[in-house]
Amino acid sequence: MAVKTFTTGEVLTAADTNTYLNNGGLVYITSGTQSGTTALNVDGCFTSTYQNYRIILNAIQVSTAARALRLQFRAGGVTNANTFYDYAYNGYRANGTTNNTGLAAQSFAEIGTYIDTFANATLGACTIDVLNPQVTDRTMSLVIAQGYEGAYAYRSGGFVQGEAVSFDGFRITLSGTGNVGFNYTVYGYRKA
Amino acid sequence: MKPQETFHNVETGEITVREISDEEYAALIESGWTPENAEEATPE
Repeated sequence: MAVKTFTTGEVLTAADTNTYLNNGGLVYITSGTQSGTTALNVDGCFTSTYQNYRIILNAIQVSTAARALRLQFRAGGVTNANTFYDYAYNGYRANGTTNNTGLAAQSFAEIGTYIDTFANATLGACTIDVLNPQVTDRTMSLVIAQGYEGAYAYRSGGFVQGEAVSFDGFRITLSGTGNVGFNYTVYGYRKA
Repeated sequence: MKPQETFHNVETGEITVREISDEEYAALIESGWTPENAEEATPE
């Protein structure tokens, strides 16, 4: 539903512009570039302002091949590494083969992107919708991801952190040694 | 040698890069992160 409908010749005022800026479907929270280190920790991005969030990672590179990307939630600057993460993905490669994956009771959640070769090349991207991370309950997340596993590979699925706790941040790291690089943006879903 | 990580505080806007603390390194190892587990997450 439109916030306001303009008619021919009507003036776009500062107030109108501000109304539109404050009523986008996705509201920008933060962004940055991750490179040259083993992990990114983002703190204070989940607040009471929004219920649901979208994290976008693009231009994902790994300095060492055969690495999966992982997410853990954080609260008060501390990473939650309890074994309550379950994840599951349907996957398909561009060469026509499947690449499903999933595990339960892990200390992290994979986010669907796996890069098996070509270190330091842009081969991955991922969108993660994090639902109600500030609520003291299980935290569900829905994921669409791209990687490279002998061919370009795509997965959809998600993960749950199964504890009745709340989070204000997240951490992205690799399944082994090496640096990870990507651009990241965090948005909040406007409530009303 | 402990890894260097990036820390982004959204409230202050501060982005820092530092070697992780002993406690954070212990938690990282406990979470299953080791140089040897790189193949662990091999897809089906």
